Amino acid sequence: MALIEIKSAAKRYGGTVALDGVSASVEAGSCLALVGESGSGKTTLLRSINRLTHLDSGGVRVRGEPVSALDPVALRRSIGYVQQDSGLIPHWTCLTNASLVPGLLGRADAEERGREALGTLGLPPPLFADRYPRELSGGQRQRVAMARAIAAGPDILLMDEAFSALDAITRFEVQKTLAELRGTANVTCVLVTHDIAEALRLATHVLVMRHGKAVASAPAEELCARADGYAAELIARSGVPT
Amino acid sequence: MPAGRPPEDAAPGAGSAARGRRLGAGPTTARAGKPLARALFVLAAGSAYGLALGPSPASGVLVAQDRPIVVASKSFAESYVLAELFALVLEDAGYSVDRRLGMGETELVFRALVAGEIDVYPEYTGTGLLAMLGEEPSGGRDAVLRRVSAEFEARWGLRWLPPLGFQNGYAMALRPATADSLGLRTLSDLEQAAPGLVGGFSPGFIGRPDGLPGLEARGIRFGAARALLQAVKYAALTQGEVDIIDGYSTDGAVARYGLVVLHDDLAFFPPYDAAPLAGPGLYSDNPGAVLALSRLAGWIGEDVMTQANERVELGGLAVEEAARLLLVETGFLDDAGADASSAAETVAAEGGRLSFRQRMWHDRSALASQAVRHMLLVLGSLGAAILVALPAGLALERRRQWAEGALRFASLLQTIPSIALLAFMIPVFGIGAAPAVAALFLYSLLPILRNTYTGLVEAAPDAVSAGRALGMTEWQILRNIRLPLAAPVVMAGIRTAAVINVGTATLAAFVGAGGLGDPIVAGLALSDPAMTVSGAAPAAAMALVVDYGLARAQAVVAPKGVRQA
Repeated sequence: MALIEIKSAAKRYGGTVALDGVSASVEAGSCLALVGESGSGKTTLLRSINRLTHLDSGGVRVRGEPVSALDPVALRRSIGYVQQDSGLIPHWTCLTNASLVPGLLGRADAEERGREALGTLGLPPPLFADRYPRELSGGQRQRVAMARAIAAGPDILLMDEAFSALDAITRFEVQKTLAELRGTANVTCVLVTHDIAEALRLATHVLVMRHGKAVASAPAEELCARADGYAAELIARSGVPT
Repeated sequence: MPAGRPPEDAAPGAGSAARGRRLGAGPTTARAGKPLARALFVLAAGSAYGLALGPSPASGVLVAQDRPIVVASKSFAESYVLAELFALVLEDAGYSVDRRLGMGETELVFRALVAGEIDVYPEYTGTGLLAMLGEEPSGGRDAVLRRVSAEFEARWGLRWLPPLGFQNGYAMALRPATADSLGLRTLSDLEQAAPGLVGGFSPGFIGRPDGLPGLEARGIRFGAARALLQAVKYAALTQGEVDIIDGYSTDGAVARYGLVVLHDDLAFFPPYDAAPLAGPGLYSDNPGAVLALSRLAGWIGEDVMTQANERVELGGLAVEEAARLLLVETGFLDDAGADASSAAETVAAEGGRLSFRQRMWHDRSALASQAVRHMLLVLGSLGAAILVALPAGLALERRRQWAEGALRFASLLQTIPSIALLAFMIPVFGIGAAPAVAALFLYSLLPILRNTYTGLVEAAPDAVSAGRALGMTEWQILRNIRLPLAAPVVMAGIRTAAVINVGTATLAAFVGAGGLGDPIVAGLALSDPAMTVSGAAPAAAMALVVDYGLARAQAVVAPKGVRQA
């Protein structure tokens, strides 16, 4: 059974349709990329997984259970989350930020977990533990945000345009770290991006979205071969060799 | 020991032994000059409200007071002197007195009397007739007195005590050069000349029916009318900034500057007999005090009053000394005069007024307690505002749809002029510290509420959304993210409110709240700039200290990671 199962998700904001019956499933250990332009509904779909968005109809199951039956706070603590602008708490040190989720879960070893996560993300704790977010570069901040997301050892990691604000070189470095992380920690990922090249590089599956609908869905290595219409146009625009 | 001078003791200072040792030897006592006329007038006045003027009570009246008699005045020199006079006479009769001198314009003091906040203050019959009863001027002195006596008793339960003996009517005054070149001698001459003249009038005169509106109704329309405080009116006139002012007939400055006063040939200005206006707190609770004040009936002539005003306004004599001197020189009080005369001589020898530094030193203990009181007004109102605005800001962050309305309401309060807000508070809170604290409280709400709300709402929105996505509860977000980040913003709001309050609290003097506004208001009323600055300078210094202190506090409460280097 898939770790995450989305069935006919639908959501409107006032008169605007954000999701119009999207279904998807994510197997344990895989990485699904949601690709599309702004307003395609990809972030809304991502946020329905940890109940930051409440669907109008359709359903999401995580680890076999419908999320609507779960306590949202407990659900969110069990799922890693990284957003575009890092969202670090500015008056907390890197270590305090990284230890947030284990701390929320009341784990006695919260700080140790945070320290370990910082190390995993390539931020040696002796150098970084006591620094404040504003003393870091954008790439370093994003690494702290990723450390915060994985410190409690979640089996699912949601990433919303997590690399978009980084310059090309930094983005490549951080993407590489994510790939390594997936290899070692066996984390299941769902990531949102408008960059199809990034999706092809990081994901095992790609779901192309437009106007709240899934217009293409395929394993990453087959997408270029099978894409037609809008998806093919997106690929062509991105300059990915086919 | 009081010493009312018996009628037969005509010559001033004719043997202290002859000075009456009996209290209330007869309020019909007249000063040498026009004894018969005065006696008749006072008798008529007395009969107008059926005051018992006959038998004298025995000496050593038992004074049983459960609270001091509150004596107030308006904020101009003569009113100060008269109120001080009342206070001295009452104290001489064994009463304890609470002085609220320079409380404000007519409306404010009158409302306080009606509300029972004060017991007595000096008022003028003409003001009572026109400003309070809203009637047209008609009849002579006796008729006006009878009219106001009957109406004030019926409408507000207030009593006019026997008039003091002099009138202080409005007197339209000009520079002699202006009067001569235009040939102005009477009020009716103004009709032709007024459009070419710039008037400088007290705010009261501009609004009252017996003031500017009344003149305009008679076809006397000035080219321009500027509102000027009593204190600056004469300077503006002598320096040519304005051409004509509303003076008072007993004003020391009219004589001193050699101004021309226009004869009221239109009988436009009603009679303005000065008299104590008393509330039930005086005439019901302390009948002996009424008797004591009634002994002043007909005692004070226009020349005597003018001299006292001149001593205060131009000579720089303290109000209390001027009042005491008046009572001593007219033989109302005996021995206590020694101090007063010597004080007068001292001031005269020093060439009039105290300099700013002398004033600060002379009034140091009063200023210190006024500064403390000022700070207490600020702290009290600020503390209350924090207790209300902080939780309100927190609640609005939870219910953001109400925020705009609440902030708009607080802004609305802010747009009410301070002096008007203070006046609105009087019917609710009376006078004293309560209305001042209430008004300052309302002023403080907006900066604190707005900063609390925006501080919470705008606290690191990225961190808030990430925290929520990672499973922080709303309470944890508030405690760990919003509150610490909002703290310096909230503190900035408190700082703004505090600095505004230190300044606005100087206006609290107008509602009898005390503080550093007292010397400012008194200095303005008595044309004594050094006295004004002796209140204004400490208030400004206090504002700077408060601003600096709270700026430091603002830096301290800023969490470390976001503190400005």
